[in-house]
Amino acid sequence: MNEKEFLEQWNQDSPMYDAWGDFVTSTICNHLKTSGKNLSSYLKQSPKHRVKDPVSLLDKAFYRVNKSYDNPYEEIEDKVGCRFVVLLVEQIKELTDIIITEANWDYKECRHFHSEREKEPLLFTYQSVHYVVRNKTEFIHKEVTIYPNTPCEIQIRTLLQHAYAELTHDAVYKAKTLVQPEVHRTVAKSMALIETTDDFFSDVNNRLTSSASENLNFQQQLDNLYKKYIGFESIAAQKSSIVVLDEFNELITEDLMKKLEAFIIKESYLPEIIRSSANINPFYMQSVIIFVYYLTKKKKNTLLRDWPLSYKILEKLAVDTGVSLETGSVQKSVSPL
Amino acid sequence: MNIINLKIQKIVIHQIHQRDNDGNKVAPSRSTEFIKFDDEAMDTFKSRFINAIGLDSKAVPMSIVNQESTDLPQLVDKISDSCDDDYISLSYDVANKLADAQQRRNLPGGIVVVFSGNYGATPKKFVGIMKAEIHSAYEKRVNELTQEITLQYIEEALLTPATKLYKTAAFFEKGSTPEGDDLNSKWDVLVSDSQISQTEGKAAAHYFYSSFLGCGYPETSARTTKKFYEATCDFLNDMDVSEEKRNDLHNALISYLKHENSDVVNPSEFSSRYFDIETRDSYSEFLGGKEIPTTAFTKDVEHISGKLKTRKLSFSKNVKLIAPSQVFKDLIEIQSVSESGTGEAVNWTKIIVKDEIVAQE
Repeated sequence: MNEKEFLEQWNQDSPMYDAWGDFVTSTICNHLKTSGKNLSSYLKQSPKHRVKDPVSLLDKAFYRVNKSYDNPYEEIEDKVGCRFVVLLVEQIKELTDIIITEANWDYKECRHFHSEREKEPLLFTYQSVHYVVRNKTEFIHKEVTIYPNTPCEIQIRTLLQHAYAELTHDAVYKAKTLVQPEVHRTVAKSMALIETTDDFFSDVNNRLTSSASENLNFQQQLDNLYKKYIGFESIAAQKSSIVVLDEFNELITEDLMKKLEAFIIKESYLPEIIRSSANINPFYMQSVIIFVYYLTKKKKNTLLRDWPLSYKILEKLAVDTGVSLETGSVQKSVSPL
Repeated sequence: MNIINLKIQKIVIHQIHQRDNDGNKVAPSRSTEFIKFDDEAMDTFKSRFINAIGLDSKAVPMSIVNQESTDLPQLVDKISDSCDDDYISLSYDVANKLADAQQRRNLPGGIVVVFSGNYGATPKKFVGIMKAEIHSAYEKRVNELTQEITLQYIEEALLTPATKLYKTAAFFEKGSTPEGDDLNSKWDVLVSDSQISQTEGKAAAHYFYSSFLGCGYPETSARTTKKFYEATCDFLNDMDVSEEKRNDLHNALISYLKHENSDVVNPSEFSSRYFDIETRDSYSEFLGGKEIPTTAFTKDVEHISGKLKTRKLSFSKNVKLIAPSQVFKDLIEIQSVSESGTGEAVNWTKIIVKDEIVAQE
């Protein structure tokens, strides 16, 4: 196949590749959505697929230094590709799991920084995960017939790996002049630093999620309690709620949930107050409101000492439960109005 | 009593005045309109009210004594289901009654707020009366151009958070159906007046709760005081503190009940004086569990006068140490001993009596 034939073939096929790239990207995104991910925060850039432009495709097929293809059209597998950039190394695993388990295609792992690190432990260079997937059967997507075995390359990286790739791809490999050794060295140092930082990021994330998991569990139970007695779902815990739970962490004991349920049953007027205030004040839409009501009645002194939000909120809640906020020691905790 | 789910529907104010130089009553100035608060002002007013009479407050339960048709409790009873026009004139009668009761010339004038609505999980009626003294204050002003802050003097301000500056009484309809004509079977009364719990005691506050409100100290005071004393002893004995500290706390409890020159027992005042914040919360929970009010109540030590007179330490082998409570406090020092002379772990007590032995048997 010469260049002319190659180009003719490509012009004919590229709409099919375009459709296939679209199918692969949207399939993965749908999987992410079903597992509860918010795409706009989970993916650090849009994963939109890209069809290679003819010039760089021809260049790759016929003018690649150190690499020549016997059958470039078949051998070049990244004629269409998509890229998923995430924050944490762990999230890469979540994506590869999706790719591996999808039934519509066969996959091939082309490169993975884990195996490359093992192979070349002394080398710090470009790190990424590349898969090539090929559809098992012919099918139609967006009115285009996709022949079986059409390849699409999927790249998966962390945000920091992506930053490295962006820098080296543009500045180093495309440099017009010969790159100085110290530049290579600096780039290698950057990757060493990036790998370290990625590890730190994971570490931080693990610690945060593990310490939050107990709270998470409490939050979940609190949400259930809210739903059961208020009658509708609470909104997701906002910062105010997290701050409150954090401040009174020590009061969150194993039997607290039982006490809270007994409390909300006993104070049978509270659900109605919460329901009627919920559309005026978003604090009432968070399940933590039940906990705070409980504190006004059962742990008033601790509540007054440690309350992290505006005193005004407490005043209102204390009126509902009929609790005087004046403490025995005169006026100490009462903020002047 | 649980004052929950409070909703205020009507508020009227009238102004009363200090007596003139000859001690004659000056007729109160009458309002003819209901007060319309916006949401925020209403929330603040409610908060003032609950701070004065809610759970843990200084308010004390009182019982209704004067039940004649011209007495205040009857007025309140009428107000609770009167139409708007009657409401305003009945509330003016309330102001008039207060002006009558303020016999002493040095008592300041102020605003009488009469308000009502309902409370409770299943709504019941309540009527509140506040006498708010007028005092001076400052308002913060910000110059829009320079952002500079200045203070504007306000000659007449009222209902600031300092509960000292207002007296509050509230009549809460009971859940049960009243029996006969006794208003006590229809209404629970709470009175919050910082003067009741001050050193001047009854005398200073008498005009408000008695002459004006027609109320008196409930007969249950002695029983409640005893329950409070016993429960607090139990709590102190259960506390995880050294014996020295426990001894101090028992002494403090006795002083509080015996020597405090006040007619009111206020559990949260007691706990804030002697306990740290966490212990205060567990103390209120403890009292709550025994159905003893954490709200203040009128003091009557009749049933425990013997207990307050002497303090007693008992040991497991029938050793007893008994002394008049004041002597006990002043002359006896105790200390826990956890190790014997030979290094054994023991639970001993060392007692120092700062006095000589005058007789032995």
